[in-house]
Amino acid sequence: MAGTNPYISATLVEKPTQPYQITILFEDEPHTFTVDPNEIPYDRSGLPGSILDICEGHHIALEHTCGGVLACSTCHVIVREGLESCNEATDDELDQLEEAPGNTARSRLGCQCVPNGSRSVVIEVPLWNRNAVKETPHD
Amino acid sequence: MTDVQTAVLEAARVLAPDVREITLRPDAPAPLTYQPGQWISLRLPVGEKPPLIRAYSMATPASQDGRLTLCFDRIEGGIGSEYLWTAEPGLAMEFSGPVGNFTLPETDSDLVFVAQHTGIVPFRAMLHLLATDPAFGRSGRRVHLVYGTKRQEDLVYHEELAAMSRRVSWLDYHPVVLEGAPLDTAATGSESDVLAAHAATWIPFVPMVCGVREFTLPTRSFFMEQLGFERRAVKVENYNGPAAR
Ligand SMILES: Cc1cc2nc3c(=O)[nH]c(=O)nc-3n(C[C@H](O)[C@H](O)[C@H](O)COP(=O)(O)OP(=O)(O)OC[C@H]3O[C@@H](n4cnc5c(N)ncnc54)[C@H](O)[C@@H]3O)c2cc1C
Ligand code: FES
Repeated sequence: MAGTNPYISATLVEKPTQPYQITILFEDEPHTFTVDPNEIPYDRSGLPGSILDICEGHHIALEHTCGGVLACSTCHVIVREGLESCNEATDDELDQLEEAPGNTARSRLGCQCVPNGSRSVVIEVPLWNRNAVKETPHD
Repeated sequence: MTDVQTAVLEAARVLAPDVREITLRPDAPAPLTYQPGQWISLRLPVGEKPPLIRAYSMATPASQDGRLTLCFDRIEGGIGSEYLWTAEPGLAMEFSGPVGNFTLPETDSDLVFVAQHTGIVPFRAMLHLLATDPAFGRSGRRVHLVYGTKRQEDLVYHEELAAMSRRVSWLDYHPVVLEGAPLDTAATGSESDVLAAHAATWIPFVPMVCGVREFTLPTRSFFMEQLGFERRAVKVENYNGPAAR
């Protein structure tokens, strides 16, 4: 299992090398955009290239109460398609996910889940968290 | 959406060359209730895509006047902490919470608190609560506090903790600094030196560790590998996220 070496504070991530498509489902609406590896990191929240980082870069305000540092579970998302293209969850991430309402086998923390770009991904923001997500105004 | 609340920065004081304490007065009509060890999420008007969200633990237990005391490191190039370092009293702020699970465990065992730098903050709130709890004083339980910083001047709240350890019989305080000749009660060395020397004699206890991951994870490993604790039996609060590698 990943992350079992408790000395290691870094998470193994395969960064995307090619553009890929991501769809975020919330408020019953799909929001689809292309992730350009050259634009990563979009922001300073979560692992570079994480679902949270991508949301921040595309005006989708995904809740991240701890600032995207794996200390809460408010960024809980469900990876509907493309889970196999994402980095493996560490034990610490799985511990935090246990606190998330509606935790499923396809659940991840948005701040820790980094797709490698080998295929498109579809991310659902769980029902309980939908009110927590809003589209922010474009600049 | 998480309830966003407002507060006014009421007071600020520098505790160490790179550590500042600030007091917030929330605008909420009733004082906020929380457990020592919980934290609030500040929404700071900085960064490329404000608000920048940063978590800070409360340094005191919940008080009747509702004020929230936070204490933070100034991190070079850290966009959130640099902003807070220069924030002036009177500033309006937004936050959500309090939240968090790094709270006093329900146990009859002793407690071992291990903190590095501002990792002391949640423990200070817990110690203040325990110090006002006569039942804890009578219980015969002990708290072993291992608190390390690089230099003596970085040991914030040291005088207060040393005084508390003289006043109450249950607090066994081990301040330790990496550099320089020790002044009064702090020894020279690291938190792991203290743990290697004493922790085995403190069993049984519940270990709690707070600070940055580079510190908390090796400390957790010590409890697992040297003392046989299960990974999840070691309560950890990490101030930063894992890096990508
Ligand atoms: C639950 C929780 C409680 C916290 N409580 C406190 C607290 O009471 N006091 C406090 O000072 N901080 C606390 N933090 C950390 C705080 O939220 C910020 O991460 C910190 O102030 C740095 O933010 P920044 O924007 O200035 O730095 P960023 O631009 O985010 O840079 C952070 C970088 O600094 C490094 N770093 C060095 N020292 C620290 C440190 N002490 N904290 C975080 N990163 C560090 C990190 O490894 C990281 O690379 C807490 C974090 C969490 C998740
Ligand atoms: S934002 Fe807190 S764990 Fe992801």
